[in-house]
Amino acid sequence: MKTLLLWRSFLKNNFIPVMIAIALLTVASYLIVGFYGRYKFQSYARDTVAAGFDPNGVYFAPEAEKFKYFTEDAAYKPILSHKACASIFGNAESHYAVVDGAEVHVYRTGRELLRSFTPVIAEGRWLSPSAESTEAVVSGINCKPGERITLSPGEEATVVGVIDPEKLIVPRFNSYGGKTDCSYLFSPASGAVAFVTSKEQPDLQFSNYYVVFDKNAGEEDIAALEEFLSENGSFTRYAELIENSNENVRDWLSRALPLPLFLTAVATLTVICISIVVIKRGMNEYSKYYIIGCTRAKAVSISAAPLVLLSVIPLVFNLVCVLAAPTIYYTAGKATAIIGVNCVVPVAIYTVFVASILFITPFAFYAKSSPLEIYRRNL
Amino acid sequence: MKTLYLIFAGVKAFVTRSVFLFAVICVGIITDSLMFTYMYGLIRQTNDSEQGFFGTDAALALTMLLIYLLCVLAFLYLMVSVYSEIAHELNVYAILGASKRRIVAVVGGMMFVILAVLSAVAQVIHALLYAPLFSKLNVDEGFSYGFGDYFAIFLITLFSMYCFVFAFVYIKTSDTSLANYRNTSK
Repeated sequence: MKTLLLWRSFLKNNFIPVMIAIALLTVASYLIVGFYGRYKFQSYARDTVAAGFDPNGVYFAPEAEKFKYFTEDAAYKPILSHKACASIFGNAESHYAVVDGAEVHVYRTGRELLRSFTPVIAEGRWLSPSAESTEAVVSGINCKPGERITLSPGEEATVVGVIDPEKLIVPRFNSYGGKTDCSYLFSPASGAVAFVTSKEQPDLQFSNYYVVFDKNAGEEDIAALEEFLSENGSFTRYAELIENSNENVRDWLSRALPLPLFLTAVATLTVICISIVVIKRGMNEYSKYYIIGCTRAKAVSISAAPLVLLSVIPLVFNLVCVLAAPTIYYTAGKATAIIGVNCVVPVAIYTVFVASILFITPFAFYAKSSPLEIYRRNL
Repeated sequence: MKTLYLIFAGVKAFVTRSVFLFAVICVGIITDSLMFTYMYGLIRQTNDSEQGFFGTDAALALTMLLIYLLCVLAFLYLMVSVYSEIAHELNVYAILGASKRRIVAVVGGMMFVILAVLSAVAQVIHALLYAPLFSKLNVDEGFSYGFGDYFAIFLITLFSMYCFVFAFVYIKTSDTSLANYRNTSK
């Protein structure tokens, strides 16, 4: 109780600097979580393409105006009619459903898509292309493999796998740019998601497509298909997608990372300086406790312990934000980061680092000095 | 002349009394000054672009602004702690008969010297580390800081911060000599 009262008195006397320090630590932690989530998305999108997509293919973005003589939904059909085209897949048909009282984003995945897009499964297995009955792989729902869920009145699916929510991305073949990389093909997802496949295959949506070339097709046939694709839109080859992604991650690390590192370094140094000043200013009082018989550990803990305990606040704040409002870490309102509890790990390491410095500092002040020496030094 | 002597003697005494504390305060103030320099450059770079400061990434811009404001507060707190370290001695002079005007001039002068030296050191550090470190933070690749920029940042930091610091010193010394002496006793 006495210690608690002394902590309270310490915080009361140093309310403003302690608040500045906590606010700076919180903002620095927010930056760390956001940037780690963005890095995870960039690298995981690249790994997903590298692991599952056929290297003998291209990512094609049709120009809607050039396809106007077809209905939009059938835009992929002229591509499929080419000799060199083995298969084509695009966005999964998606809708919302209520499963066990929770709103779930359901993606109806075609066979071609699920062969290429293979997310990391935490439990069970990924959807089978040859499934006879309706299968589902879920994330964010409290379901185990083998359980049955109701997708719509009269439609049930058997859960065959659970996706690791820390690595949940969904196909979103909507973007195309000057330097298209793997992150253009996916979007991070949060909340409850279910990938579903059934015997009846859904029609391809009008979107961008991944066109897989036939391995046995001749060079002329491939050239003809590529010419058709470039006449009706733009395309990026698999190798270019991977190379652009690698370049993007490298570029991102060298260009985008220095800024949060700088801001975090500024915040950390400022916090440490403020804390040392706060501790040093309070030492005159604590040296009196030391001189009248209080142990060194207790005298130190009066100033160090509240600071160390309060340095956990930013970690808790970020943990709550990650669980309750992950969208606050997105860039300009766009989902650009995979935000999960894992993202808080670097913040935990950062907090331990800052807390250790705050804890060690007062001991360093008191080291190898008698109580009287300390008292004199702080007169 | 006597005031000038007291200013420099006071600064020297502050530095030598607790080198560690002085070093910590210096690191803090220089770090915050580097942040001010970066923000000045960023605002100049984004002013020229169509999107403006908040255009590219509003969340990041807001975060930077928040860190900047917290750095301003931290900077002021560190300056206030410098005052706390030197005030007691000067209040002893006041009790011994020094006029309030002289006390304010000496304390204000000491703060000015410390602030000016540390702000200048921060600009020099920024200029020296610009190519290997700070240029990587630029939004506009072609942007660089000229002597005029550094001088402008130095003046802005010095005078904007000094206004607050001087006001604080003035308020703190407005009481009677004995009350000031008691307030600054540890």
